[in-house]
Amino acid sequence: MGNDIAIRIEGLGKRYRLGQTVDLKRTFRETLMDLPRFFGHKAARALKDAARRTLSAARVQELQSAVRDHRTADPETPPGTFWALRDINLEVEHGEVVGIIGRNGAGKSTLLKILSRVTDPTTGHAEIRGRVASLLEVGTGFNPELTGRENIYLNGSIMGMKKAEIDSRFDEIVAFAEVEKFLDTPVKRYSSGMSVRLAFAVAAHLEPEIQIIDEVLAVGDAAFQKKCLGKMQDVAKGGRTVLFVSHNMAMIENICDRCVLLREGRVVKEGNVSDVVSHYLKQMSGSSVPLDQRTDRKGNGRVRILDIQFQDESGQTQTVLRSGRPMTVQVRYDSEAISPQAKMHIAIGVYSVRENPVFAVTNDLTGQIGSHWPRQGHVQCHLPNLLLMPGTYSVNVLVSVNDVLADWIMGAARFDVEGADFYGTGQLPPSTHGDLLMPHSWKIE
Amino acid sequence: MADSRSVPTIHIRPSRGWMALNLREMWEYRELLYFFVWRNMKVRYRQTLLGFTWAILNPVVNTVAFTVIFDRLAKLSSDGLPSPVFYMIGLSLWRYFAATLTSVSSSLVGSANLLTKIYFPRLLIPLNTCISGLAEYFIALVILVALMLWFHVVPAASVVLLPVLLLLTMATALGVGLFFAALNVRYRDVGQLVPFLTSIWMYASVIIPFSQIPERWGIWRYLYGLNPMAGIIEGCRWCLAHHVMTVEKLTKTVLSGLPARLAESQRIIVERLMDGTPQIILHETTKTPPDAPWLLIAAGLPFTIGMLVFGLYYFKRVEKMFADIV
Repeated sequence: MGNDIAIRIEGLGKRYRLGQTVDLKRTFRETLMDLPRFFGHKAARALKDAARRTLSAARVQELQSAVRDHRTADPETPPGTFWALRDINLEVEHGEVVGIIGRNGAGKSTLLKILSRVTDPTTGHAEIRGRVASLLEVGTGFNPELTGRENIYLNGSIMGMKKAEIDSRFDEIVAFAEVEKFLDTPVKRYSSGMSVRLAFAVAAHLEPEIQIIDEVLAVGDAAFQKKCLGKMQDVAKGGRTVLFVSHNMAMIENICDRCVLLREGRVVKEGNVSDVVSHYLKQMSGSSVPLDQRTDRKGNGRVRILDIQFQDESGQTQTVLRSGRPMTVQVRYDSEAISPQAKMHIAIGVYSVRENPVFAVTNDLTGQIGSHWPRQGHVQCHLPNLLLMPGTYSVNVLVSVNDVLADWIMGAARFDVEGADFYGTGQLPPSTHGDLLMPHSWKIE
Repeated sequence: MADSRSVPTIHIRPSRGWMALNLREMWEYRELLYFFVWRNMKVRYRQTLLGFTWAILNPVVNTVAFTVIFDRLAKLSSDGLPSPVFYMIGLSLWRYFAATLTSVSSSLVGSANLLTKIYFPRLLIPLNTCISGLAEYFIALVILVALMLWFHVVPAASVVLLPVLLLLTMATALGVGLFFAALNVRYRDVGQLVPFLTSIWMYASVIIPFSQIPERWGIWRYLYGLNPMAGIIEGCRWCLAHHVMTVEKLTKTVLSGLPARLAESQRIIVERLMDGTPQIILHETTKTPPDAPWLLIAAGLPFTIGMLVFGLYYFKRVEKMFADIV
């Protein structure tokens, strides 16, 4: 292995048994918990039972690829298994900052888990020169009974620091976390912001040869997020080898020297950052599988959603919309013969790229089109003013008939929002301040 | 900076069934082991109102109960020792054994949060509970010595062999515990099984002294020692309370490693602390004082060693899949 290579990955693959993935339970629960809040509907309850018996929606993609693998009768893929990673080859040089992007379930976290040795690969091997530390699991091993000082030592040690190293960086860590006054207070009395700050501070001062950074920016308050961002950039630009995973394309483009795009466990594109990022965004906006051919849907199928389009104020179909302008979501559907009196329900949920719910619209909320749907048609939802920050958003659509789930597709479509002069001042809030643009005004009396 | 130093290369490969223990790596992580033990102590001490008192309370209360039930009511032999001393020696060690076995058994699942996120030698988790449990035992030992002095039983020089017995206890608890810890990953019923097992196992280990097993059974008596804890506890009683050993004899025993017949009729001289006047207290052992129970202890070794090897093997097999299963 050459001296300038920090990470060499050859033919790396990871096969999981279905229903055995690490975060299955987690995504599962999250999915269930999000549903009632989002749609506030009995359909959610009916769905819970169905969902309990099947896989979480987030894993359906893997299920699909498993099914595909079965069709090709791959001897390496026994029934009930799928490859979360397949035949990954990658070399990272010392001091290189490599971005890893891809949709959820593309294998990013599996790759990081293998490289940080939490789980074993099924095939292939990897060689890593130097200590690996990840910023993806801040605060692991924090004990609420212990004081801040004690947790710095415990956590630092768990993350692989020697006691002497912790000693020498102790003051720096404390100052970064801004917890000087509470050093000898048990962490259970800390606010959540404080403990997150402390955890990040320890992780950020690890200084390993190879740093793995997953998106942790969702932690802490805005000021601290900014500080974290700065620290990450320092790390990335400080000549260290970094693997950087993020959904934030601006940060990827800003920090990385090279970029790798994963899809369904394989490297689909690698190289120049802006090329890979634009390829990814293209892939995101136009789903690879047409909606009417997607099989990762739930419900009895009495109504089938065929297509979703986004239209601007002039009725033109767009994938990029503008903040502050009207938008129309058009859902094309097909259905069995349904009594005109049947209670029809449609809900559209909009999520940010980090999969946080942003808002939902339903016909129940406005009391419209509750029955008498034609067998085929277009349901249109008009939003007079798109109050969204620039970014990429994904859409879930759910249709029920008489409170029985008919069709439900997660990630049915995506659209981008382009910045506009929303406030007429040429300014927008920073992207860390949420996904909404709220019209407002100020005065002094 | 990375280039100037020679940095270790980490190889990541699919796991094999049996992997070397990688003791060198464990050694590199010794500081983490220390911090884990240190954490256990601090947390245990802080979380409970009475702190380490619980560690003492358990064997003490059990000793009282056992003395009443097995000595006073059932009139079982306590091998010539005052029965509270007899039971306390066994029960304090048992407490360490049972607590360690329980915590090792739940260690993998209990640390899921850690194990699915960060790499370190997984064995550190069960190992640190073995070590931190010792603190409780040493506290119980202080109470035990006080109790012995009260009953005019003086810890003999043979007490230096106690660490060997402790090590055997640890190895047994670790071996069985590792197996359960790995099993627990797939079957959570293990959590129910372990307390049940330890209570039954306790009765098989702390009540009957070897001398009570009929001599006419000859070599078959040593079947009793197939349960390693029976032999270890017998050994504990022997080295703490039964024999006064001269250093010379002790060296001989240790060097030969053979069951030496060191038994002589015992007369232990103690200064009675209560009135301050030196008196001669006679402490008679049983008609035939017990031999050093090395053979009995040796009878338990196959189980201890076998279980340790098997437990390690099974643990190693499961640890790599752990993050995928939990």
